[in-house]
Amino acid sequence: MATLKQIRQRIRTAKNIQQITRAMKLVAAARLKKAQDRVLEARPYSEKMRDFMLSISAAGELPSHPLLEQREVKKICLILITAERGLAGSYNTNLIRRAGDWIKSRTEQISMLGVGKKGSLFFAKRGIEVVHQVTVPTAGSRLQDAVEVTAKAREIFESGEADAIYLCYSKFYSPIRQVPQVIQLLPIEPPTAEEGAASSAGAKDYEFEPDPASLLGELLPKYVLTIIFQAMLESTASEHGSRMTAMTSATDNAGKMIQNLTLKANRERQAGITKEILEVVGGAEALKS
Amino acid sequence: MATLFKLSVVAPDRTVVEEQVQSLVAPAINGYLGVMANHTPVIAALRTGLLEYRDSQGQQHFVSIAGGFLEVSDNAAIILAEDAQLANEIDVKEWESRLETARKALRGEDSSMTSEQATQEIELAVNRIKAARLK
Repeated sequence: MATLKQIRQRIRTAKNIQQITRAMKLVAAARLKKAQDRVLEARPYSEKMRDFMLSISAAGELPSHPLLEQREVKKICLILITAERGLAGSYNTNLIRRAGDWIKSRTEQISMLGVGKKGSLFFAKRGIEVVHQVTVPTAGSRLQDAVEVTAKAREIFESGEADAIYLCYSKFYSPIRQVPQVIQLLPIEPPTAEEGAASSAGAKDYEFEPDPASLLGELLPKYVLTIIFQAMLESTASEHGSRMTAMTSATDNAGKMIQNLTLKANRERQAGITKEILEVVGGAEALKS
Repeated sequence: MATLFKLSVVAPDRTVVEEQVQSLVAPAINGYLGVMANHTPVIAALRTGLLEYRDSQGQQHFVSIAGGFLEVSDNAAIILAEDAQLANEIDVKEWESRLETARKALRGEDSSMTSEQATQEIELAVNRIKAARLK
């Protein structure tokens, strides 16, 4: 049975923790708002970029380009986007589990390019070679971070260090729903028309200026960059969303705990008083007799 | 009344223009490219330069863009620009100072960027300032 002093100590601890989690929740909420806006603002660009690729690939056979080169896949590089810090609920765990399952399902030799240190730290300990590590500022990924990742990814792919590059990131649906997923980045698979409406729109005869080959040479690197940037933005938003949810429940739990402990402390105090009165009364009775 | 078509200019971080316009002149790699309603489908690469369009009232607008692509199809023009700014949103002072820094870098007095980056920056800054003066 805890003494009154011990219970009061625990209340203080819980209050301190609650203060921290509440502050983290507020910070995450503010960052989430910003990250969410950025994702929503960036989506039109990446969607239009996709339409573009669709129009070009629908216009005929794609000219050859280093980024489209299909090789026999022996080595794969996985770009894993995770957070720089923990305490974000199940965000990092989910991504790591998804990536781990994916790696188990492949027979090829896997290396890794880490964005955010949580994921690559985990896999480095489990014997997967981390070829490069990119640090992302906590305020969110900037375009130049995406440029760095893209440059590295292209270098790995074009030098033949890997025959395919996959990207594992967390897609942001809402602050409480983020889904980790793995997509193929390189070689670029030209997007195929999924809906019937899109395919009829893509079947037009385009005039190209300049010729399709050099146009593609300009477009493909940007296409890759756009995918990576979008993935990084989605991940940042997911991270903050996940952290906010986790911290909200942590704050609530701390509140509940404080309530319980206060109740217990009060009961203990009352018990102490009752005991003292009984002693006094008992003493007086004893004197009387 | 001229026939209208839809123009959207999107940069990686935002949508800059989305409206019905009468005409459009875009800085394609091989020279300016004019587009009016019912233009034949075209895909073109763009360089840094001034994009000019007339809105439904016939009012002329300028947008300074830094490279990108243009797609015209189904009476809609889509411009994917790496960076785009409406002429009346341009802060001349900011770009003048960036121009100055870039020039310094090109002369080798500032090592914050490579000469290639500096050249691009100068091109963009000159273009932005020009756009701001034109409006």
